[in-house]
Amino acid sequence: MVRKNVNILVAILLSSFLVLAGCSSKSTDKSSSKNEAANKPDTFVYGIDGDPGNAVNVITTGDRYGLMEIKTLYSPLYMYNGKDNVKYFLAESMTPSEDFLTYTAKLRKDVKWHDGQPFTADDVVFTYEQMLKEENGGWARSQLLFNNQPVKVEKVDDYTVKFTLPTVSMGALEALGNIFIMPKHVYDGETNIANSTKNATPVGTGPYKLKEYKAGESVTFEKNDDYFLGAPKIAKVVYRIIMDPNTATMALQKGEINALAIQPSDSNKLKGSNVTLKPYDEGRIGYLAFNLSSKAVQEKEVRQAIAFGVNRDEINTASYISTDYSKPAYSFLPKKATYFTDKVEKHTFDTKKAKDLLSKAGVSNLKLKLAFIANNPIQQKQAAVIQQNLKAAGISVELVGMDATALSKKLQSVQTDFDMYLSGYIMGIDPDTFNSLFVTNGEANYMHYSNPKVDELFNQGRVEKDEAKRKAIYEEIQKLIIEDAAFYPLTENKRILAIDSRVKGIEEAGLVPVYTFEDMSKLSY
Amino acid sequence: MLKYIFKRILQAIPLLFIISIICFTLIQLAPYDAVDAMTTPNMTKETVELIKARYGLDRPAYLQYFYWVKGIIGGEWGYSIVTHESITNDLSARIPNTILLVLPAYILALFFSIILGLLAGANKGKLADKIIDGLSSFGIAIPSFWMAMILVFIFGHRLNIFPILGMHTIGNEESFFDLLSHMVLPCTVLMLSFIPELVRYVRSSAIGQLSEDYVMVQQAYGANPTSIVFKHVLRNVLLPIITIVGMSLPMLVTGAVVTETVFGWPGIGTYFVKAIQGFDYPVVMAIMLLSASLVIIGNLVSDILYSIVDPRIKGMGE
Repeated sequence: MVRKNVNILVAILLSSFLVLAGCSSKSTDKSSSKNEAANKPDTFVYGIDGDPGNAVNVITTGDRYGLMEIKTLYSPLYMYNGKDNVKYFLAESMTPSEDFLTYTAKLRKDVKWHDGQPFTADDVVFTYEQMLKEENGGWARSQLLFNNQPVKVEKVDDYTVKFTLPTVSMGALEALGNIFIMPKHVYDGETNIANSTKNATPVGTGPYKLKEYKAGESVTFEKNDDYFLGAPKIAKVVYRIIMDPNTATMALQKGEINALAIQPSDSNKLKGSNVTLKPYDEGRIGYLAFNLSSKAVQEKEVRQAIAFGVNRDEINTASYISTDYSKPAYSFLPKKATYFTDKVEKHTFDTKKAKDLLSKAGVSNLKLKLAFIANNPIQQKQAAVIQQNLKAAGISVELVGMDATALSKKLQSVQTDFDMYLSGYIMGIDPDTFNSLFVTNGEANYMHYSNPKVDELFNQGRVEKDEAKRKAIYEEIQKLIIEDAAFYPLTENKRILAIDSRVKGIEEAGLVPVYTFEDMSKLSY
Repeated sequence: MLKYIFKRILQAIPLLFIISIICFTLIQLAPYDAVDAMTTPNMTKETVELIKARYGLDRPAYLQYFYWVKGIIGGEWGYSIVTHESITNDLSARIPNTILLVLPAYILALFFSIILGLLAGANKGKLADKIIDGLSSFGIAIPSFWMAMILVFIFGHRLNIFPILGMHTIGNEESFFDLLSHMVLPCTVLMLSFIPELVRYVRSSAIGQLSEDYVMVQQAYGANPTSIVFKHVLRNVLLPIITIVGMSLPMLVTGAVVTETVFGWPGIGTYFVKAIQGFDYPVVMAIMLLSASLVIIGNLVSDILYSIVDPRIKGMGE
C-alpha cells in the first residue's frame, strides 16, 4: 500500500515535469517569430499603470485611466480648453443668453450610439439629471451646483437643450462642459449606476467601441466606423496594464507597446530609439503647502522664512532634470488659465532673509515635518532638496514618506501629523474652478487656509460680468494667496508621453490633460 | 482510514468558521469607516446614511457578518467599493492566471529540489554539497524583483528571446505557444525563489535518513550508494515533503505578488496590493479569508495524504 502510493506520487511528479519541460523547450523557438507579429500597424498599444476596471461609467468614474477609457468610448457636448478654445463634439454650439443665466446647446443631428440608436436631447437631459442625483455620487455634481442650487436642464426640442442657472456664474461654460453623455435607452430605470452590470457592455458615441476587458491585463477597443467626426484610422486600440515602470519602459523600447507616459529621469534612456518624446502641458501645479492646523507654522513670518529659504530652481532641476519638462510656478494658477499673472511675490531664494525673518518672529531651533508620497520619485527629490535648503536656514526638516492613499486620507481631515506637505493639482481653465482649494472650508482646501478677503473676492469673481473688473479681482487673489505664504507653488510640470515614432496625427488628435488624446480617431500609422 | 479522514474534515470546519470571524473582526477593528471610500466630504449626512443603508453598513456588526458569510457560501462575494466590480468575477478571472504561473513553477521547483537536496545530503560536507548549499543561501538572499529585472534585461531585452509583458501578445490570445513563451521568464523567477528553501529542507531530511539503521543494512549488503539514495532514502524523504507541499497551498493565491507586478501578469497579486492601498475592504476581506482557508485546507490535505502514505500516523491519531 505504502509503496504503491509513493510510486504513484513519483510518477505524477515525473510525468508533469516531462510534459512541462517538453512544452517550454518548444516555446523557446516559437517566441521570436511571435514578437515580429506583435506590432501590426493596425493596433495602437498604450501602456498604463493602473486598472480602469470593468465598471467604467460616465457618472462615477473619476480616475485617470477610467476617464481615458470614457474618452475613447463616449463623447461630451464639448471640451473647454480655454476661453477661445472650445472643441465641440456632440454639441454644435453652446450660447449664453445676454444675462448669462441660460445657456442653449444645439446638438448634432447625425450622431448614432454604438448600438445604432439615434442620439437626442433626451440623452443629454438624462445624463445631467443622473449626475445631479446626490445618491449616485457623480464626480461632477459639485460643479453643477451654483450657490448650492442645481442647474436646471430642459429639452427644448430633440436637438436643443437649455441650461438654466440659479445665479450668474462666469465659469459656467467650463463647468457645464467636459461631462460625457450616456445613453438613456440603456440606463433608463437603473437605480445603482455605479454597480450596474450594464457598465460591462458600454454603449457610447465615441470613436471606439469596447471589444474586451481583461482584468489586470488589458482593455481592447475596436473602431467605430460610424463615428460622427469620421471613422478612426487605427483599427484597434489597446490599453495595456503594466504596474512596474521598469518593465513598461523596456516594453516600449522593445516595441511591445507603442506609447507610455514616462518619468523625466527615463527620458535619456529613450533618446535615439524609435520613440519620440512629446512633453505636453496638463496645467498641473506642483506645490509645497503648509498644514495650518499645525502650531509651528501659524505665524506668517515663519512661513515666509521657509518660502525664502527654499530654492525653487534647484528643486525643479533635481526633480524634473530639464526645463523642457517643467517651468517654475509663482502663482496658484497655471499659465493657460484665464487671468494668470506672475506679478506676485516670487520669494527668490535668500537664506539670509529667511534667517532674519525667523529671528524677527522669535523662533529658533525650528523642527518641521514634511509629508510626501514615499514611492513618488519626483516628490522624493523635491523633499530631499527642501530638507537641504532649509538646513542652511537653520530649520531642521524631518521627511515623512507616506502611502498615497494614506496621505490623501490625512489631508482630508484636521490633524497635526505633519507641518508641510508636497502635492499637486490639475484643475480647470477658469480661475473659479480653483476656488475649492482656497476658500474657507473648501472641499479641496487641505491646508485649512482661511482668508475672508480671498473668500469674498472668489464670490465676487464668479458673478462679475465685466471682463476688466474680473481680471483685476483674480489678479488680486493671486497676490493675496502668495503673500500669505501658506501655499508655495513649485513647478508647472509637463507630462511626458513617449510614443512610437511611426504614429502620426498627434497634433490633430490633440494632447490634453487627463485623457491624453482629445480625439483618438485622428491617430494613424 | 476513512474514519480518520472524516474526522479530520469535521475538525477543519469549525476552524474555517473561526478564521472567517477573525477576518471579519480585524476589518471591523481597522481605524476607518468603510463608507469613507464611497463618500466625498461635501455630501450631506442624509446622503451618507443613504449610501450606508444601500451597502448594509447601518446594520449591527453581527448581522453584517451573517450576511457576509451567507453571501460567501452562496458564491456571492460582494462588490469592490472602489471599482464597483463584482469580487466573484474579479477573483475568478485572476485566480486561474496566478495558479497557471505558480503551479508549474512549484512542481518544477519541487522536482529540482528533491534531486539537488538528495545529492547534497548524500555528499554531506563534500564539494557538491558545499556548492548546492552555498547557492541556496545565495538564492534565499536574492530578492525576487531583482532576479526578475535581471532576467527581463538579459532574455527579454538584450537577447530578445522571450516577451516580458502579460500573458498574451495582443491579437494572439488563442495561441498556446504564445502563452508558454510568456510564461517562461516569470515561471523561472518563481522557481528560483522556491527552490532554495525546498533544497535545504530535503537536504537536512536526507542527512537524517542516511544515519538510519536501514541505510546501514543496505550498505552492509553492498548496495550501491545511488540506489540506496534513490530507492530507499527518497521514499522516506518524500514523507515530510508532503507537509511542506500542503502548507504551500496558499501560495497558489498569494505566492507571486512581486513577480506578477514586474511581469504585468494579470493575477491576484497586483489586485490584492491595489485593494490594500485603496482601503477596498470587501476585497481585502475576501482574499484574506481565501488564503487563510487555504492554510487550513492545505493542512487538512497534507494530513490526509500523510495518513494514506504512512499508516503509522493514523494509529497515532486514534
